[in-house]
Amino acid sequence: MKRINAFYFIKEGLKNTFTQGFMGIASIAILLSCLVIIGIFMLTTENIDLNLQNIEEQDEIVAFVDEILTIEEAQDLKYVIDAVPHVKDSIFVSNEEALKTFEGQLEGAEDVMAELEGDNPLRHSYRIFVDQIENSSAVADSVRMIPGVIKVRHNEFVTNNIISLRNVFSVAAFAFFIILLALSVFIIYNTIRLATVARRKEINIMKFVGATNWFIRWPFVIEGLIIGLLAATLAYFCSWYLYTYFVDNVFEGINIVKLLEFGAIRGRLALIFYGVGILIGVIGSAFAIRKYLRV
Amino acid sequence: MVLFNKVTKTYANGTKALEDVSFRIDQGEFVFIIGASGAGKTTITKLITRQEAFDSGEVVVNKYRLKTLRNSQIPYLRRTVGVVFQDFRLIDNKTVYENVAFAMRIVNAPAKEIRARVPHVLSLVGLSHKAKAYPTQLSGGEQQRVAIARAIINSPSILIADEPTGNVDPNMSREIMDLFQAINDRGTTIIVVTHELSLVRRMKKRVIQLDGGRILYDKVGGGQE
Ligand SMILES: Nc1ncnc2c1ncn2[C@@H]1O[C@H](COP(=O)(O)OP(=O)(O)OP(=O)(O)O)[C@@H](O)[C@H]1O
Ligand SMILES: [Mg+2]
Repeated sequence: MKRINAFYFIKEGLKNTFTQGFMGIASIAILLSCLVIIGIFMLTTENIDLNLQNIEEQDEIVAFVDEILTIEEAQDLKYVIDAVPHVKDSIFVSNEEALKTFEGQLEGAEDVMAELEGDNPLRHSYRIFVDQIENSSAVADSVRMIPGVIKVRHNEFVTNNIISLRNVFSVAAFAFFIILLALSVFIIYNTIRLATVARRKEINIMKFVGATNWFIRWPFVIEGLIIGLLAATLAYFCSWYLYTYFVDNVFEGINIVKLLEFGAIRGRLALIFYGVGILIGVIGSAFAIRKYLRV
Repeated sequence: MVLFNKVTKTYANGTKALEDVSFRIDQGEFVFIIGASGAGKTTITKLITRQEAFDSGEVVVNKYRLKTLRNSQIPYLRRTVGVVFQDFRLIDNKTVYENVAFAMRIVNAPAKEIRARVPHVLSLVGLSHKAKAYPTQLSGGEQQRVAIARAIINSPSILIADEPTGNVDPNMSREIMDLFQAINDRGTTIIVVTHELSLVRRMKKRVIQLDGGRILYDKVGGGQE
C-alpha cells in the first residue's frame, strides 16, 4: 500500500463511519452493547471462579493414623501419602496440636481437659491437598488403602457438587460467548452491507473505471476497524464504570463473597474487547462487500 | 484495438445475444454500431469491458486476450477502455470536479497530476464553469459531458459510448459528436452505439449493423434501413 493510498483509505473510512450518521453510530452502539454483555459475563465468570476456588481450597481430605503407630512411624507416613498420585501436599498434625486446636475452639474446653488428666484421646492426622478437585475422591480411596491409616474423612457430596456446578457454568459461559460473538458479526455485517448498498452505484462506477478490488475494499474494512475500535474503547470504560458501581453499591458489606478488583482483570478484558471488536469489524466488512466486487 | 473472431454469447437464461460475430477495429478508428433494439449492441460493449464472458470465439482488446484473462487483470483492461453509459452514472453527492477526479484517484494518480489534468479535461468538454456544481444541478447534455470527461480522464485508448444521444436534443447531439471527433483526432478509438440513423449518415464513418445477434453489414459511409 502506497503512502498516499493509506491516507486516502483512512480518510474514506473515517468519512464513511461518520457521514453515514445514523448507521455508523447505531452499529457502534450495538457492538458496544454486545461487548459490554460479554464483559459483564466475563467479570461474573471470573468472580464465580474465584469463589469456587475458595470453596475448593477448603475441600481437604483428612486421614487419621492408627494409634498403635509411634509418632515417628506416623510422621514417616508422609512419604507414602505424598507418593499417591494427584496429592499436591500433606500436612502432619500431631495429636498434641489437634488437642490444642480443640482447646482453642471449644467453649468450656477447660472442663474436658481437666477430666482427661493429661491423656490425649485424639489421633495423629494428615491434612491432604489434591492438585485438582476432580481427583479428590480417587485420592481419598487410595489413602484409605495405606496401612497405618485407620480412617479417612472426605466430603464427597460437596466435592461432586462443586465439580458439576463449575462444569455447567463453563459450558454455559462458553455457549453464551459464542452466541454473542455471532450476533455481533451479524450486526456489523449488516451495517456495512447497508453502507455498501447505499454506495452500490459508486462501487459499480469504481469497478468500471478500473479500480482493483482491494482499492474498493480498504475504506470499508477501515470503517469496520474504526467501528470495532470505538466500540471496544467505549465498552472498556462502560464495564469499568458498571463494575465498580456494582461492587461499591450492591455488594458492599457482604463478606461471604469475595470480589475481584477491576484492575486484576482489566488487561484481559481490554484484550478481549479489542480483539473481538477489531476482528468482527474487519471480517464483517470484508464479507459484506464481497458481493459488490463481482462485476 | 478491438478484435472479435466468431464470437457467440448466450446469457444465463438461454437468450442468444451474439452469434458468430467477427470484426476488427484498429487504433484510431471511429465506428458506429447500430441495429434494432435487442440486436446485441450493448452486449458487444459488455464483452469488451469484460462485464460478461462469452461462449466461444476470441475477443482481444488492446493487449488483452479476454478468453484467458485472469480476474485480477480486469481492472487493468478497464483502464484502457473509457465507457460513457446511457444513464451517465455520476455520483450525485460529488461535484463535477470530484466525479472526474475520482476516476483518476482510483488508478493511483498523484494528487499533483489530478489537479493539473481535471481542469484541462473539463475545459475540453466545455464545463470549466460547472466544476463546482453537482450532477443534479446540470442539464442532460451537461451530465453527458461530465460522463465523457470521466471516461477520457485516464487517457484510455478506446472510448465506448452507449446511446450517448438518447437523452439530448439534436443540437446537443451534434455537439457531442463534434466532441467525439475532437477526441478521435487525438488518436483515441471511438465506438458509438446508437439508434439515430440521421446522425450516422451525417458523420460518414464506418458502420457495423447488427441484426438478431449477427452482423448484417460492416462498411464505411452511412446506413440504410
Ligand atoms: N443480462 C441479460 N440476461 C439475459 N438476457 C439478456 C441480458 N442482457 C441482454 N439480454 C438479451 O440479449 C439480447 C441483446 O441485448 P442487448 O442489450 O445487447 O441489445 P441492444 O442491441 O443493446 O438493445 P437496445 O437497443 O434496446 O439497447 C436481447 O434479446 C436481450 O433481451
Ligand atoms: Mg443497449
